[in-house]
Amino acid sequence: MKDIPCPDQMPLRPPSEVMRLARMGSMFPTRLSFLRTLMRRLSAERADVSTPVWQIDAAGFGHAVITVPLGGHIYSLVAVSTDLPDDMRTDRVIATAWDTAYVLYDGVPDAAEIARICANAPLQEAGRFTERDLILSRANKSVRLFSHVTDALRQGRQPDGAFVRQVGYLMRTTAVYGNGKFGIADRHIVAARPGLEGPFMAEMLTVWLIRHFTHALAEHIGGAALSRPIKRHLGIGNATGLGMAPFLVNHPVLLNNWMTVRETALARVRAVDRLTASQIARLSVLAERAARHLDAWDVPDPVHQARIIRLRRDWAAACGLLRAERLTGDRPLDQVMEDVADQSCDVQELMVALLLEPFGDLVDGLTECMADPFGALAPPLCDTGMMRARIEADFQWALEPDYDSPENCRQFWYVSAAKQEPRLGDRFAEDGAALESPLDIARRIKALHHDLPAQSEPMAAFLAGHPQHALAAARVALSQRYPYAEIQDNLIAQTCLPIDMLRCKLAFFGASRFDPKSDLWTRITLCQGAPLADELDAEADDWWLPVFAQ
Amino acid sequence: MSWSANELSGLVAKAARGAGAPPEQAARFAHAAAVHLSQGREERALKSALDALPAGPVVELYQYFTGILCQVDQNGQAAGQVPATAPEPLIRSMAEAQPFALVAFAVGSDGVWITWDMSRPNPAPPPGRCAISDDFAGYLTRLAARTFVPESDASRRAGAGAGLLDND
Repeated sequence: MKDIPCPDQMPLRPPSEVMRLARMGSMFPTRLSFLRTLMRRLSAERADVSTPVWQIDAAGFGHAVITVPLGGHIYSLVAVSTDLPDDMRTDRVIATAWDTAYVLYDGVPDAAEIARICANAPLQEAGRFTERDLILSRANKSVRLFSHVTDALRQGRQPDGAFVRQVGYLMRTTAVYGNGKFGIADRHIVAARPGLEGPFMAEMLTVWLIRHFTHALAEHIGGAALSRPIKRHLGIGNATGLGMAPFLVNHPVLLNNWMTVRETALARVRAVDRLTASQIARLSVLAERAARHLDAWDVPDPVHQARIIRLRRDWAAACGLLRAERLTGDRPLDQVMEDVADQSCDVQELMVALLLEPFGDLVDGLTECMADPFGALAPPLCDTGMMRARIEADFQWALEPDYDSPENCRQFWYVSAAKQEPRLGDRFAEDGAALESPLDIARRIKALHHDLPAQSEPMAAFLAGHPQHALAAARVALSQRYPYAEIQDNLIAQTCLPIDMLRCKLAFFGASRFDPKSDLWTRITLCQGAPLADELDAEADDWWLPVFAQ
Repeated sequence: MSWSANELSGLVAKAARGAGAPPEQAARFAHAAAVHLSQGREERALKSALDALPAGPVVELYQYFTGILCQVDQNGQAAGQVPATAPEPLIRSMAEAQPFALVAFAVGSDGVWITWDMSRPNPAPPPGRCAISDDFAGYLTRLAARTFVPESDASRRAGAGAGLLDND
């Protein structure tokens, strides 16, 4: 066994700084993002994507099978394309039909399996699936761009580059289900397989193959090939709503691991003593690319557009910190982070993402620590005195709000009876608060603290009389071992913006071009700039914050 | 019908909450239910535990286990007794569902002695697929539905932010 020295690192940014919604809602994709990790793996294996089945008619309806080997296994995307009336096209969970439906299949399906999937995949939540089905997904067309692209190809020309840049995708997924939903395989079936060990790897593989399918479908209907730059810039859209937010609250160990890896990576980069000339040059190139990416990022929502405009201006100033002459001292990247400390969270988090980019050798290995193979290995806090001390030491953020005040408890999370769609309500204007989902972690911790007895007693005895406090007690106990497990904000406050949670998780996926449609949901683009199926080579990893190279 | 472990435990967690279990106890019970059923143990023990809510084994075993997990010796082993107030297979499933390695499970006349090694994660493979009866599936579904907020026009329009049509 080789002894591998652990790289130097600076202190990690504390959870009290990192785990705030405003900062989580400012995150950008990094080279640690799941899509980046997947693409590195596919590239390392020079994965050979093929299409053994293409039963699609001239109008673009039918089914196809696209296969890819990864880590000694073969996976197949079974894609089903149907004719969807415009009045049925919605991004919501409550939809009942979609333009396209997909299953990522374990192996290569035979005719009977293809027929089974073609019958069930379009039903989505109403279908029934098997252990061979790893992921279930669906996608709707961006009708305007899809029609424009296919019309242009039919007329023998390439689509308009500005339009491609504006939309960025031919279709957008509205759900990517994994881990056992509707009978598909539990995650542990693939969790140890090479290439799929990391979180959401099977989902990311599905998304990348769906993007490949959308390109092929447009070319099939249009009867001509898209140019490589346009194809590369056509990612896969995604509409993400409230369902993603509870995931972060309900998977605290996973959230801790993602954040710990990201912060450890930053701490390692900040500890780099001296930069080489090529590293300095690389940082400069990336800073310029980020500026161009920001310039091309426009959204309809005026509030978020104003924020992007502010970021463009602030980023231009921050780029001055990356001039070569400022990067020649000791620990120059630590100094850069110090120098942006008084800037907005947007600037700081963009800088974090940029600084990680040239240092794959230093940080990429950390991605192996982002999964949660064991569950919560935190022993309970054993008496109420220990519980009180822990809360008062680490959970002041939860103790501070007055949860009886309407502004601090106005929102409640719930699951609707309509297709179990996650929703958010106004406690003082809507019915249903009695069925509130338990995402009010901060309020629960304060309630636990309030009920702790003056004289310490065993937690087991306390919980016998106060079983309702078990969740809060477990979350406090978790903090001993998982310091980044908790979002340190009041998730039922009037001011809580679920969009911040969505952006955090989506940034870990590798999403870019966040296009918030309200405080509750966003559209994004995945795989934009990612290598195409025939571009999986050593250069394939360089697509952080892509810009359209027409 | 074959259920994945995760969809089954998700349904059981909602069912337990719908029957009156606090959320943490419901989640632990749900994980144990997937272990229980994937080991071929009887649905009956799960159903009787759900029937007993908001009291009974779902809540009591959580308290007993919390107590035992605090009795750790110098070797990192936590050991203690659970009174025989719940069916032994259910106690076993709950013990096997803990994240720590279960090293002893001894059934005696006055209860069950359980020992976990707190220094090791549970080495058992995750629960596999399960088959449950239609009756039990219906029972779980009815209990789970108690946690869902009934549909209303206002909720449908505003609760998730997005509109009802998205042709862009």
